[in-house]
Amino acid sequence: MAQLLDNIHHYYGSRLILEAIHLSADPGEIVGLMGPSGCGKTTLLNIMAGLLSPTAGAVHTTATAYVFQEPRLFPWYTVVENIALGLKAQTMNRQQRLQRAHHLATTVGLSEAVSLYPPQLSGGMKQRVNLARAFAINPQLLLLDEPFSSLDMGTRQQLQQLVMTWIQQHQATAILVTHDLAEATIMGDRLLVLSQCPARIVCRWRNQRPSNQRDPAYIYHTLSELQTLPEIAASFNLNPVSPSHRSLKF
Amino acid sequence: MLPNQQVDFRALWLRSTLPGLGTLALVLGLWQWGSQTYSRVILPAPGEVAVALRSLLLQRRLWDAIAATTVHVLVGFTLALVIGGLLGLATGRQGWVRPALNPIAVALLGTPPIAWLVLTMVWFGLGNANSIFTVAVTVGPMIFAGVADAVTTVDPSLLDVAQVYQLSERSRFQSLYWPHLVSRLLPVLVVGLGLAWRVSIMSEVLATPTGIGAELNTARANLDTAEVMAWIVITIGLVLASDTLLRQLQQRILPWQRLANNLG
Repeated sequence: MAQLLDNIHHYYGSRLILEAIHLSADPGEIVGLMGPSGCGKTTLLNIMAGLLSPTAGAVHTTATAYVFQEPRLFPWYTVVENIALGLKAQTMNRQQRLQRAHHLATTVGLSEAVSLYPPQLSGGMKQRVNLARAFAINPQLLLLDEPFSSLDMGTRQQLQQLVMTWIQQHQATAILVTHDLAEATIMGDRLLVLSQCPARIVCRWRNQRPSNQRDPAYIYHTLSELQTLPEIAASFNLNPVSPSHRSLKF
Repeated sequence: MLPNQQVDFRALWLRSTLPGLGTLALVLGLWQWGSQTYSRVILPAPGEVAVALRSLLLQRRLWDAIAATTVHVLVGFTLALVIGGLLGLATGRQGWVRPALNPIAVALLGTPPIAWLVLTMVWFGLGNANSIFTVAVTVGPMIFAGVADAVTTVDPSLLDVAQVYQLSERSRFQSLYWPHLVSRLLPVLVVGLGLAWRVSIMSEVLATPTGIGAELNTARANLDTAEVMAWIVITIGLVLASDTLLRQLQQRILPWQRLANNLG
């Protein structure tokens, strides 16, 4: 198992926001990362992406691609040009880059839209470009920051499947930040839960089934099981609903 | 626009053009009526202006005047673009440049062009330098402000993308800074060039012996109001032509921007 983060501590000013974070992952594995809002999940991804240096601790990530929450496409580039962006750092000429980008556009279902500009795309299409741009550089580590949160259910399912297949095929590792316990259960081979600030890893959970055997019944069952875990309840402020809460008194 | 939406382009064209033509006809009618009330010197009839215009079009001095004004505009505008542009770019490199230059830019932007003319007449006497300098000093601060705004408004979230995908300094300039700069600057250039024409002609009227403005002044001295108006028509034509040219260029260079505007 490859170590990605070793004892990361991070401060904003004098405020400790990440405390003793260790993270390792296998090739072909998707690790779900959950926690309350503002607990530092995106900060952790930014540290792994090299956008931020941690106050203390070691980062061992190479060939990293980042799928941002908002698509962050370059408005003056067409779909293929956006997908090819990351390839500019590699030794490829323009034609090779665009050829590879075309291929990826097809993979993510955008073969009809290659020459459109971002303002012409729907939210789901933009997020597909965002994904394809990340896939293009053949990353070993794929960072996903709630990439599907603003999509409709059908598109979300398709893109989740796309990521799972891609990670399997390329034996890369994905770190998926999500607010959605169901998404974490569907996609995640493991799940890490962070506490309220300062964030520590308070719960490590391993999915019992491989990704192709997680049927709706299993997901439903696992979800209800996860919600009863005290660490998860505490982390998300889930209150057990007692009968007295059900009737409101005026 | 949706592909299956049928658009009647002729109706669209008529609806967008007819009101303008109507206004134009109304103005011409009022003008004709006014010319019958006042003397030829005060308000010559549209027909007389058309005759003056046609006679000008057949004369060499029209093309000489247009050439002289074009030179004033292009040289002054290029100076403004180079100096204003370089200083504007410098604000992106060094934090202190903008606060250092801002008072000057604000002062220059606030100075009416006519005030510069008074000074240039003292400094340079009468000659081409007046028009060129006045154009450069009027348009330069505009371009400086435009470039300075552009370099400081590069979207930081796109800079993050460039960093994650490890773009080199050169790629970063090519794929992020340059397109952003061009997209922000072209509209400023369109406005700046329109201003350059007007400022140049104004300064030619008062302080330069060549160009459209100088011809305007001569026609005025001869009390040939029809020719004055013919020169005004020519000026409007020139400004419109340069404006259209730049806008065409803008649409060709920035196709994505037009799409963004169309889609709201």
